[in-house]
Amino acid sequence: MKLKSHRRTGAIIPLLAVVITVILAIAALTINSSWLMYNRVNAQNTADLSSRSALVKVIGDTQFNGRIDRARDLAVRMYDLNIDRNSTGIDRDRVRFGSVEDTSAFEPVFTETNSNRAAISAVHVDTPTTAEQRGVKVFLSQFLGGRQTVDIVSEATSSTRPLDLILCLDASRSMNWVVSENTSPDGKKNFNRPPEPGSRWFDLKDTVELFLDAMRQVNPNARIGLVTFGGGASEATLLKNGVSSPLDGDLARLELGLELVISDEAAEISDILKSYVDFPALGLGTSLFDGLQTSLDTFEDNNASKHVVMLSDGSQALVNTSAPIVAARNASADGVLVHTISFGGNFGQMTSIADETGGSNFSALSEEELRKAFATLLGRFRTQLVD
Amino acid sequence: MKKTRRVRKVRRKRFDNRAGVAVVEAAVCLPVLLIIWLGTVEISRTLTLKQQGQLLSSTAAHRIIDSNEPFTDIEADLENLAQEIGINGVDVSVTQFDPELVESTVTIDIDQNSNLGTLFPGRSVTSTYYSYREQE
Repeated sequence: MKLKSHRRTGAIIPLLAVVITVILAIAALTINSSWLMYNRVNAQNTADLSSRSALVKVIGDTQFNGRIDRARDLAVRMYDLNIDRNSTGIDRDRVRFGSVEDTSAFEPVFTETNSNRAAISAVHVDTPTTAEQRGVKVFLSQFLGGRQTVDIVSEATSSTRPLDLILCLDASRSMNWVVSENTSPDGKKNFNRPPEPGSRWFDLKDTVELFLDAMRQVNPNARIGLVTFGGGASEATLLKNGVSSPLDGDLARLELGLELVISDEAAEISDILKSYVDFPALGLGTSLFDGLQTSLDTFEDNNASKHVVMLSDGSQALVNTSAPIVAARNASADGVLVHTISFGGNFGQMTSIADETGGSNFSALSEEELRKAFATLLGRFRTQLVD
Repeated sequence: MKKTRRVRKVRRKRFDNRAGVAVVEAAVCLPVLLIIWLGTVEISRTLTLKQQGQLLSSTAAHRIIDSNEPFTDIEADLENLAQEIGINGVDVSVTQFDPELVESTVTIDIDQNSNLGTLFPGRSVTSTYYSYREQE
């Protein structure tokens, strides 16, 4: 039987009417979802940048009074500038300052502080808004999802990467000599007098004072310890932001995690170093092993980036301890970078120590070169934000 | 009377002949579908460019905070990065906005990234982020 073709005419138009409607709906939904996603990414970027900027601002602010308020002002201003659409701005209370216990944790625990003098190492920003508040129309998403509102929540915690640094300084008797000569400043080989101006020890003391002062600028949250070594015995002192904690010679009691407040008295750092001018007189000889191993023992088991800056004017001598490379291997196994500075002496062993751990190695034959070495190291200890 | 009947018959014959109607309907509808498709593709492409611009400018803003790199280095790096990932006509501008804020703006020319010719002649997408770095 022959079909009557005229009965099928015009079939395309109604079909297309349906298809076009569906296609338009899908296109609108796709574009609408993309727009919503764009706004969510914008909100998250804004929170990230606000928290990171506020963190850098607060830790770099040397005027402690009101520094949290100033950093908060910056975060709020940045939020207003960076957000694409925002009818309400950000509540100041949403910008919080404090610290996190474990920066490597997936969801680090944030502890808030309102003290300008506390060690601040993290800033948390959260902005619970809705699409409607930001003027983003999400009609299709609402229709399909059956929801009245669509949240655009952004939350960011910025924190600094913790850094523990031990200055491991040679306090053997030869440090009383002039850097370029094997005599004390008075031209004699006098081992039994305390160091005098012009000696290696004084050059070192002056340089380390400058270094610590600069560290307060580039990484005020760094925890810095001081270990001195000579012929086997060692002493350790904790410095943190200019406040010291003498150890009475008992290394086992050393705790890097002491809760100390920030001091804006730069002179305190100098006082601690000046006390070392008395020259600890750690016995005859130089034990690089003892100095380095004591430094390693001083570190806490934490996720901080760990560095030792080891300075000596000679090789291990006149002591009956393990070879320095043994301590260097221990450092390497613990993930500690040892940077060595050979100050006017034989630097073969010092180079090996640095190479073993992946640290930097310097040789300095004058106070100027010593300062250059510390200045170069300063760049490695700059405050770093956790990604 | 007879003539009228013949005319009616001819007319009916003419309207009964539906051959080619589908082609005519398709000729009308296909451009509409094509325009919808092109429009969707281009708008999606523009939104994608806007997101890529946002990614580049926020990356610049983060680098401003995290490092002391000169502005020119950041600009050059990000323009190279854009080329590597296949975005053309990208201009990255990093400038000191005020004593403590830096403005990072990424402008992407839409024409140079369109797969379908010029639907937005002379148009571009722009993304700007501000970040903190004290003026030296």
